[in-house]
Amino acid sequence: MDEQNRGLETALSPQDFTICGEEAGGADLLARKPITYWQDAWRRFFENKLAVCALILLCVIALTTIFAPLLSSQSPSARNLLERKQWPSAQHWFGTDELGRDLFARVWSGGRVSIAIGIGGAAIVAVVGCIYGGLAAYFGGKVDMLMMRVVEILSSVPHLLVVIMMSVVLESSSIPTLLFAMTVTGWCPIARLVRSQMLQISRSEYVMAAKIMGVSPLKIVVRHMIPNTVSVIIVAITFRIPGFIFGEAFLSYVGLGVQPPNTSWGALASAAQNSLLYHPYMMFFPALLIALTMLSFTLMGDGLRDALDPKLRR
Amino acid sequence: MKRTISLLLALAALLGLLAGCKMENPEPMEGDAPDKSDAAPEDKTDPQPAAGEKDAEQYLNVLLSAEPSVLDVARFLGIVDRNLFANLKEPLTRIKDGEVTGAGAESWEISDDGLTYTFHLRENHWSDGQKVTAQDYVTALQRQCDPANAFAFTSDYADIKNFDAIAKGEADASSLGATAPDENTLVIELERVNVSLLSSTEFFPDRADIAQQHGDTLGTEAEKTPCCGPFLLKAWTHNSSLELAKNENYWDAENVSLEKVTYHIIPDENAQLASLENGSLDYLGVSTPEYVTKFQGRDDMSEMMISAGRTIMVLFNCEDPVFSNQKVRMAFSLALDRDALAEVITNGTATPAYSLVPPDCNVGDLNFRENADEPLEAVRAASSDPKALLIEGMKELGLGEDPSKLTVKFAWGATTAAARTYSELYQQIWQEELGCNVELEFNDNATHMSNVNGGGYQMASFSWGANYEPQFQLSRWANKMGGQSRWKNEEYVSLVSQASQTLDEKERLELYAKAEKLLIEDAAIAPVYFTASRRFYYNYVCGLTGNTFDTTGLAPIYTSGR
Amino acid sequence: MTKFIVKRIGYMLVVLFCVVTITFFLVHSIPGDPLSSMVQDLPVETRDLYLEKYGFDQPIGVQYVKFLKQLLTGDLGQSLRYPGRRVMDIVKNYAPVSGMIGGLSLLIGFTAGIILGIVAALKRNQWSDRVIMILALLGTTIPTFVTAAVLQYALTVAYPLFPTTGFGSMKHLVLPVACMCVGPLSSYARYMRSSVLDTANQDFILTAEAKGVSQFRIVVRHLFRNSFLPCVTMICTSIAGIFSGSFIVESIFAIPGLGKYFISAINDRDYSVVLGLNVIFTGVYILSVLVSDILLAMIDPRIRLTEEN
Repeated sequence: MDEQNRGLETALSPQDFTICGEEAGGADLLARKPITYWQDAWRRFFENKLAVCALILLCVIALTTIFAPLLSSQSPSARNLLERKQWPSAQHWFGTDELGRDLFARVWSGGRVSIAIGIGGAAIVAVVGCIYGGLAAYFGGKVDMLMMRVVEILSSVPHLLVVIMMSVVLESSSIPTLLFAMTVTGWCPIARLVRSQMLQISRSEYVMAAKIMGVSPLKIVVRHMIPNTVSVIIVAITFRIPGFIFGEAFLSYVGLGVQPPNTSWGALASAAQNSLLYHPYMMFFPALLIALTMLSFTLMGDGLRDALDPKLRR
Repeated sequence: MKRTISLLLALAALLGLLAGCKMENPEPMEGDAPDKSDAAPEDKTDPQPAAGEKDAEQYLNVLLSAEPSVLDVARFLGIVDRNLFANLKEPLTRIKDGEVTGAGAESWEISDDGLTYTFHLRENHWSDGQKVTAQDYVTALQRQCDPANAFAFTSDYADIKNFDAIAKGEADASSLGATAPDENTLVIELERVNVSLLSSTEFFPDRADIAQQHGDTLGTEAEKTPCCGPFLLKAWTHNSSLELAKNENYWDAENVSLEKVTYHIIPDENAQLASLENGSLDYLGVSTPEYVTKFQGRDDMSEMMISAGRTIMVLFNCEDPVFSNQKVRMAFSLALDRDALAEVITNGTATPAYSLVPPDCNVGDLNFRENADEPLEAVRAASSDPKALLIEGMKELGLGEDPSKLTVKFAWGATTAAARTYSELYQQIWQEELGCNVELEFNDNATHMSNVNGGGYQMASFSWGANYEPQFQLSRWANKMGGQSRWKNEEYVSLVSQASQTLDEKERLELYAKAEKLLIEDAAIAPVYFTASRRFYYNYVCGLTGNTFDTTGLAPIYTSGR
Repeated sequence: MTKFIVKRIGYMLVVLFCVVTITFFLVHSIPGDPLSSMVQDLPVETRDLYLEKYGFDQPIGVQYVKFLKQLLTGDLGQSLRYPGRRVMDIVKNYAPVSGMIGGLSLLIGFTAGIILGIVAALKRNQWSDRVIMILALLGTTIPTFVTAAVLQYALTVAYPLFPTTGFGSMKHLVLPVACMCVGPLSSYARYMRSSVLDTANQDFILTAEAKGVSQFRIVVRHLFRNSFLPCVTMICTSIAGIFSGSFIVESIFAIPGLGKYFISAINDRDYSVVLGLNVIFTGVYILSVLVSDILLAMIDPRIRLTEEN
């Protein structure tokens, strides 16, 4: 050691230094606390003010839908012919419809149906799509090819056509049949998405590394493939929900949507169409709520996508 | 390469544009008047004031509520087509000012036994100059009973000898009871007497040569539609508009003032109202109260109430276990709050109905309703507790005494939001009055009709339009099946058929009244209201007819001071 | 390349055949028939005669074979609701109308949407970006029938600038196109914005900026072409939607188009028309997918190479 130091002309010598001790594990100390992918996503989501507002709005709407009967004492089906088509007032916060029924109560009970259809439809296509796509990716080879061909054929039929025709064929008068008609081909894009995601992940380097290291397939699926697909799926679902709500509104306009005694925002809006010019409030509230809900889901979807995108991780 | 592709894309988009440009039609966007009712009627009690001088340019913009199916007298399917025939073809007779008057036929004789009609035709020509002959009228009938055409309204002509048999393929076409001994004489033989034949059936002529020439496509385009009426079909843009021009070869051309009529096909109600408001239509039937008030406030418009000659009713399926009992049916009938229903559904324009036949129907010169009381009124006066009646009926059926355990279905033939609102009103009325459960069933029109015709319902919302005489409406329940209510009543059938053969007006009226009383008291149906509409027209429109059953079409109309 | 196209075309035909078959059996399971829907009190014999005339009384297998045979000769059958009209004629009459309105609204929506999207991306997070995005969001969330009804009243009655209904001159086109282009405009604006933002993050843009290339050139030569790509695929498949998606607008403005015709055919139980139109819509859709795939392959070498491997 002295030979190595001979070339250095420093003012320091080993006597200038005192050993003050060692911290155990000090070498492994990281600069900051480790956070998981999900925690990071959560944090990023909450930084997105717009998305948070959307989430809050959705919660408000959802809660009002559930608790509306407690807020207003009016019943959605009690007709009162003396109070037909009234403008919003202290007694009827949203006004009354053609039969004298309180619109506030009707809008919120219709909201239950609309949101149920939106979320229900999206959930169904998500589940079916995931299972189908996952299976296709898992099996691979000929089975995969066959399954994808089926998907391609089903998605080649224009969606609107299928929905309308299924509604007519099934004579859908209940929510389950309506949901069936709307989801019968709706799961195809999600299946494709899931499958391509899974294939992509299974070809990525860290999965290959895991395989080489000898991690069991099940563990690979659970720890790597699913979490990475879930984020994509969540975003896809969030964007699908408005589509279902809107689709139901369109079906109501054509006359195929939800039947009485159930009502929905779409049914209310299309019922109000004829009175639009003289009683705009009849359409205003359902249309506003459709717009707000769709808006919120879209903004939330944007926020989720930004939050869950690993490329934007910091 | 990329540039070529961008060019291609742009071209593709332009192609769409260019293809559409070919559709340029010089249609003036004038107003439209929707012809909602079956006829083109006016209010009897409110004749139009005598107008000033006629305008130099005579044209009219009218509403057509739907696209015509086919303008062929042997294959048409809807009311819209019938309305157009009144303008395009000349029937033997028309109903004018409430009376049967000669049109294509100058005069006619009926044999003593009432089975042979001899018509003497007027001098009239088709739009291409050829004369309208008696053989043309025979051709029409032959085509109508030809099984290959599958004509939907054969029941209207079933009284003609062998018509039904030929239509079913059981007899030869040459045995039809319609012949043309010479160019101007038409002889029609009947199988049974029908004193109201001329007021209930229209006989149009048809050209055999043109039918042959176009085959299946006859009546699908303007140039494939032969016309011999006051107007001819000049242009037809499918699903958009039809243009009629005055037929100079018409026998009464000098009394037809309008040179041009444009029918605008507008199915959407808001659009119809907007069209009337800005003058694109010259007259329209309006029921929305806000618009009614608005139009009433306008100085340049006038109003007339038109009865539509149509009865809205609830059909009961008498073969259904629950509704086979008369008391049950009557209970449901009595429970209806007809005033509320008429008020809410039609904004007060309809009249509550306690009978089948609307006030416009006549028997000869006598008005039916003025001479026959509404049967349900008497029943209402006698029994005022529908619920008790229902319980009685239920007991007779062995269904216990508790209406809340009874669930029945009410079928409605539309799936629009309005339909749901109205049917819910029925539902609530019944549930409140009778204490039972009513389930609503919605089908679109096609399925609903299928179900009703096939007996697949318990209660169904329905309507029947009337003809000049009560015969048409009443006979709906006088067939083997008992009509759509499946109500088989021999006395009723014999009353109705006897009436159709009774020449004396008073006797006939009595028979009809008796039949109607049977129908209503046995509650084969529950009448709800008689429809009517408010027609608003611009003050320059003159000559609009007020009679519900007039079949004069648009010929008497002219404009003055547009 | 040719092999790629041929494979694709063959594939498309198979898909078309499957879809046609599915549609056939689906349409024939719709209850009801057109005659009963129009004529009250229809005698059973007349209905039977009517169905016999159009061949509906035969077993469904026989009908299917007959349908396929007719399809090969280009005959899509006759309408039941409008006797004497062939489906092909109906399509020839109505498709150009829908095509014109749909095509125009797509063109305007696409062009304006792309431009707005680029502007919004370039001025990210400034007020013009926010305004454009808010308007775009509104455009996708307000139902079409609300827009149409309001526009109709405002611009034909309150301030009569345009004809209320009908079709025939340029004036008639303004309102329907305005209503219909709102949707595409909003989607393309949003899509383009995110696509531009994605591209703008990439290295080659950074390089260009570092090299001192002008903003304008960057936008036109690099940003636009690379973000344009995904929109191309979207527009191709939207073309198919032109014909069927315009139902609401056609109803309200009384435009004789294919969308309204299709819906009313279903309500009238006009089987042949429903089936024929289904086949056509599907065919157009599949064709547009094919075209967009081919175009994409031509434009984007990566796709072509992956497929060929």
